[in-house]
Amino acid sequence: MAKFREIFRGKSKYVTVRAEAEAESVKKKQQPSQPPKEVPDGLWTKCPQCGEMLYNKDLERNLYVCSKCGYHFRIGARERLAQLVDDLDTFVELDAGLVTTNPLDFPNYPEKLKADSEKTGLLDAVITGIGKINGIEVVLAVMDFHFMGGSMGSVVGERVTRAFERATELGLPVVTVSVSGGARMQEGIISLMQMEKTCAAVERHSRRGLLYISVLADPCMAGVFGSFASLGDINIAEPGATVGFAGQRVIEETIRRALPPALQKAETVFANGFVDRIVPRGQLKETIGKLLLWHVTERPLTPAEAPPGKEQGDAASQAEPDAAREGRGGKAAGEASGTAGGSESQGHGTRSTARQTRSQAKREGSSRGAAARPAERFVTVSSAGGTASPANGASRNGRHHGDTPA
Amino acid sequence: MANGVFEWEVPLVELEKRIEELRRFTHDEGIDFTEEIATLERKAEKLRREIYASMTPWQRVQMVRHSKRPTTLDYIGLIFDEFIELHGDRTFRDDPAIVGGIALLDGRPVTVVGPQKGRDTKENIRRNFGLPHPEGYRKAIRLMEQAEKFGRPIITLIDVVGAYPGIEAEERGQGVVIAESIRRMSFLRVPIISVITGEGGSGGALAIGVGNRLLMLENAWYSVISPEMCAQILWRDVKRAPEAAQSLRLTAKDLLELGVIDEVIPEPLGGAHRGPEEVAASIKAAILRHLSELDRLSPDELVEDRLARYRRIGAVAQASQA
Repeated sequence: MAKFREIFRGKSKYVTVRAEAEAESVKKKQQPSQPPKEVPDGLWTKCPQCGEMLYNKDLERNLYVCSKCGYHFRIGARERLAQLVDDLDTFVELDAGLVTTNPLDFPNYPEKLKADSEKTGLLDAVITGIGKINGIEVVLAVMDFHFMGGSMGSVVGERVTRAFERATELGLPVVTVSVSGGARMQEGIISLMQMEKTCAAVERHSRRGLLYISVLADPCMAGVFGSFASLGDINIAEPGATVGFAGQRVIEETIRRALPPALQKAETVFANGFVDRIVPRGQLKETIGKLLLWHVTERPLTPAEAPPGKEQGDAASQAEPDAAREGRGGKAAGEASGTAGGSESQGHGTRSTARQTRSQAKREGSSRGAAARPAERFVTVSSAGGTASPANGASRNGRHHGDTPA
Repeated sequence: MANGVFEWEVPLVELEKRIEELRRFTHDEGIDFTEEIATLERKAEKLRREIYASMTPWQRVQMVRHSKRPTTLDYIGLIFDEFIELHGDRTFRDDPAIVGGIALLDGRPVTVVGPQKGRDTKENIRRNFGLPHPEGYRKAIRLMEQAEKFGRPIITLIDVVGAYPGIEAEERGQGVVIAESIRRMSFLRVPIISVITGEGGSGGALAIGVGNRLLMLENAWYSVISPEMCAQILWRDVKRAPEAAQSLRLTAKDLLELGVIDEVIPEPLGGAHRGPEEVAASIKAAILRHLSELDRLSPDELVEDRLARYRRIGAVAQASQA
């Protein structure tokens, strides 16, 4: 690192790289997302996989994916949300104030909670809420590994459960991003019971005919992989993520030999048939957006239907004022797919679908004005007793959604 | 532990030996030691109560690992009139680490499922020490869904350190299968009673433990993680397992206080291996009692009852300043 800096010392040019300072300022108004733990303060970060020195601004622009080898850095929940939702300002967080009561009086647990809370600015290891992805309203649950290893205790279990319950009431799809070492030891049996709670909530949501997309990021293990994270209608993993049930050391101690290095890599888990796709971070929003669209529309969608032509970034800047972020996302997608293999490339459908998403959003009256009041809307709907589904969900996908008999 | 005796039991066992000797002496030699025996018996009884009433959580964990502790098949033999074991997951293979089938409970057909530890080394190897692979859980799901089809109540008897942590288990989707089992079990439209008879090791136990009623033998433990693994992860020192066992609050008494289980089924002093018939009779009585309550519920109500039972478990509050 020091040696590398040496090379650039005195070269004023690298300080002037901030050509996109304008675009940057748009983002600064939003809640600033914290850089991943792996990314130290300063200007440069060394990729832990290939050793490439990455300029932090470039790294952030590239969604914290190494531009050389495609290594996906671990990112916090806020950063992940910023990457996924259309506009963080209209994201409405749910149950933000929930905290655990330390049911077992587990030693040193409150101290640990306090420390991680200060470190991350979070009260526990998941953020849940309602936001929009490509104009489609969706309930999100995004975990943060930097808060006690993303472990699931009472608060994570309750927030995730309530997120699914809210989505069920509102007729909305759910997207979860699971980054977790598993159930939280410090809440013992209570943590274990959260596995049942979340699985049951997923199933109730599913029985209303609603879509659940589960994203497994690095790592997704044990009690979280063994509960709601596995149960997506569509399971998506990030490249290189560690995904599995038992921890490496436990397996090695049991079988008394070393684990095959790729056993719990997302690519192996994919090959074994437990996730639907490996999607690089640069394509994640686009993939999720497309899948969401295909589940909320009532009419046929074909690539030929939308007018051909414009780049996604251009379309975005016409439709939304804060398109700079999307433009960068689009660029990152290209870069990432270059390193992560062409098998996941989205082909010709990409642009036209992006257009359709937007026109769909417009047809449904999801203007920015409407989007700015999601909380109001959600209160209204939930008081209706959970049977109405006025949003982009159940009522629109052409099926009956009474309480399906078990 | 030596010869099936825990170190904390040694004074009692020695006393019991002396009483036994005096009895034999009285019988063989015709010398009357009745009074001495009575005195020693009183002393032994006092000691027994002292030792077993003050058992630490870690001692209980060790006790349920006793090689003579009744296994799932032992209990099945003692609780039910008859049992027909059914095999296989219809996808990959039959996992001997989980047994299941149809049994008669006082003449009533029920489905019984549970992990099966070996009773000796040879059987333990065959049964993988009662550590199930994904196909074991798939077999369990299959049999439980079969029970639902025919309206049979489901009894699960649980004694498992955990789902098997191995290469093939990972390759065949241990985590996904456990999630799937929890999800499906939660919505089955028949009564489910789960009894933790020994070890309740994390997701491997929960996967077959989603019941309308959860009962636990007095010395059984049920936790998110075994005390050894907890100590290893938190303090990188497996020798601190006794401390972890204390902190995890994993005993039947703890779980009753925490509202996770419905009833503690007593064991004889010294553990279930000192009176398997007595324990089996207590388990049977408890099952029958809870089943008669659940029989009054409709299939919809059974599902609601089960979901509500778990839905309320959690320790959350509103942050003061949030």
